[in-house]
Amino acid sequence: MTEVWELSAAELGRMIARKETSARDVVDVHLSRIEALDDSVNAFLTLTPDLARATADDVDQRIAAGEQLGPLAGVPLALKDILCVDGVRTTAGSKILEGYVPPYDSTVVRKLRAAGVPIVGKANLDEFAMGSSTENSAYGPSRNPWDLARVPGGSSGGSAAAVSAGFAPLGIGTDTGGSIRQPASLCGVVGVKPTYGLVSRYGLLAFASSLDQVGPFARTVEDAALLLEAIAGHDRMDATSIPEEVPPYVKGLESGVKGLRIGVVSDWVEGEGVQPGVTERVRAAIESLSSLGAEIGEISLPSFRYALSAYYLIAPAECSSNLARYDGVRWGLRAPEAKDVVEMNVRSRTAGFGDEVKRRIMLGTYALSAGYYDAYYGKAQQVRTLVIRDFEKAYERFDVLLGPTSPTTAFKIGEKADDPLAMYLNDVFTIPSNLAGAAAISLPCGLAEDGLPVGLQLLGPPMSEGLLFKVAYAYEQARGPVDAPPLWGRS
Amino acid sequence: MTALATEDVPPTSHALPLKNVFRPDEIGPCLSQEKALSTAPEVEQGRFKVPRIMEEP
Repeated sequence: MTEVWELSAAELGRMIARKETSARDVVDVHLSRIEALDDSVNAFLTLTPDLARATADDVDQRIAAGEQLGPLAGVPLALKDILCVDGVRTTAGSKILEGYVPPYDSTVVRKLRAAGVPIVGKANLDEFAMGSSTENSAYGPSRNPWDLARVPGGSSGGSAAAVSAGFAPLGIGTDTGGSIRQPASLCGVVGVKPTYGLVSRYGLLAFASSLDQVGPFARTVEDAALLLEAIAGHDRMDATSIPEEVPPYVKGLESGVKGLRIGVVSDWVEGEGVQPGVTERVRAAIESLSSLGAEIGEISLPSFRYALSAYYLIAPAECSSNLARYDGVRWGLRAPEAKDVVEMNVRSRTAGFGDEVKRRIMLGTYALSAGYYDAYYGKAQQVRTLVIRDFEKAYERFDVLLGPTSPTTAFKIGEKADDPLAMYLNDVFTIPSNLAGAAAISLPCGLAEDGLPVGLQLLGPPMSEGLLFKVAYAYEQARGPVDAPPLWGRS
Repeated sequence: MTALATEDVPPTSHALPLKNVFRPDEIGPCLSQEKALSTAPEVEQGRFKVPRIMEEP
């Protein structure tokens, strides 16, 4: 028998609208599952059962009164704990925000409330979204539902693990250098990094402002498309928000890939450090798209080998500026009994920030300092232009690009924790889309030789979400249902 | 990166071509003083309180 927590968001939304079940029951089923299993997964930092039940009850009352609600009304969601919810503690995975209760809603949360989506909890993450494993969370790592000894990826690892575990069919993450796509890949779920500016960043605790973007997690492409429709759109509270209407993504899902030109990024599929099982699964996905009528070609993108270096100058530079606001004055941790304000700043930050955050603040401060600016930050911004030009050239020949999301499947907790450079390499295939402000999606394409999920990455130009969803959906239908993680107890 | 020739490459500070984002100069909803101060470690007389910022005279 199919359990309620296994169903897709689209299916649950339909059942709730038809009164075949209630939003309240759906929320309660998911909350019980979280209560039973999250001690072993640690997907959530804070549970919000009262908020979720209040939203669900409101949805049920409005449906009973004959109101037509959106397709996700009553469908539970795990929210990355870096987006503000009025009255709910928000930590960003950091001790420096321990006890912080924001007095306002982020725009994404305001839109989720309007869509009737119950938020069941705030999901774990690497501190301030800096990391690829959730091991940088000040509150302990999350675990991968496929193997509890392994990481779920990061930084949005809690959201990905929650969706994979069946704690919620929907999740929200943020992607600055791969932080949605890489955990989606490692947990075997769908993750979307939207075009920069498509989803408002108002109420998102900032890491690297020119790269950060909010996006959806789900177990199906259709669910991810529905969630992106619900959260995207222009917002006057975010000056970088794109002033355009959001096109309907779900409507065009089924139009197929016949004649579409897909460029395989060859250096990624066969590249150095890519696990053989990853190459094999991605090759099989290419075969599948080819047999659906897509035209497959190969492409090499020379500037991309510098993208990782450029990212690790730009992101720390922006983070060093953004995190200066944690000064112990207006919110968060304040070290007691300092003799003056500078000592208070220094002691609060020393106690509140973790090692990786401190490392990036130092790197960024150095890269921006007088005499080094041109050689580091300025040069990295020029590389960013070269990456954008390489993408533009590629899209003269191809409609979308394709490659793996991550070079490997999920690694063991502790395996890379003491080697920042090895950890940074997780994002080598995801970073170019962030530098270019472009759209990309990761979706499951089977299991590698180690029995762990592999993610297929589809990349498109800015505002190509509709196209990416269409290709992803066509592949997903051809692929068929994916295996369930061991945590589902299917044997 | 130092190996790359970039003399004629303009820097990209931002991926979006948006410029001069304006809105009408109208007062919208904003946080009350009480709410804005609700998250502060220390408050006195409607203000954020901090340790001494100047030397004794």
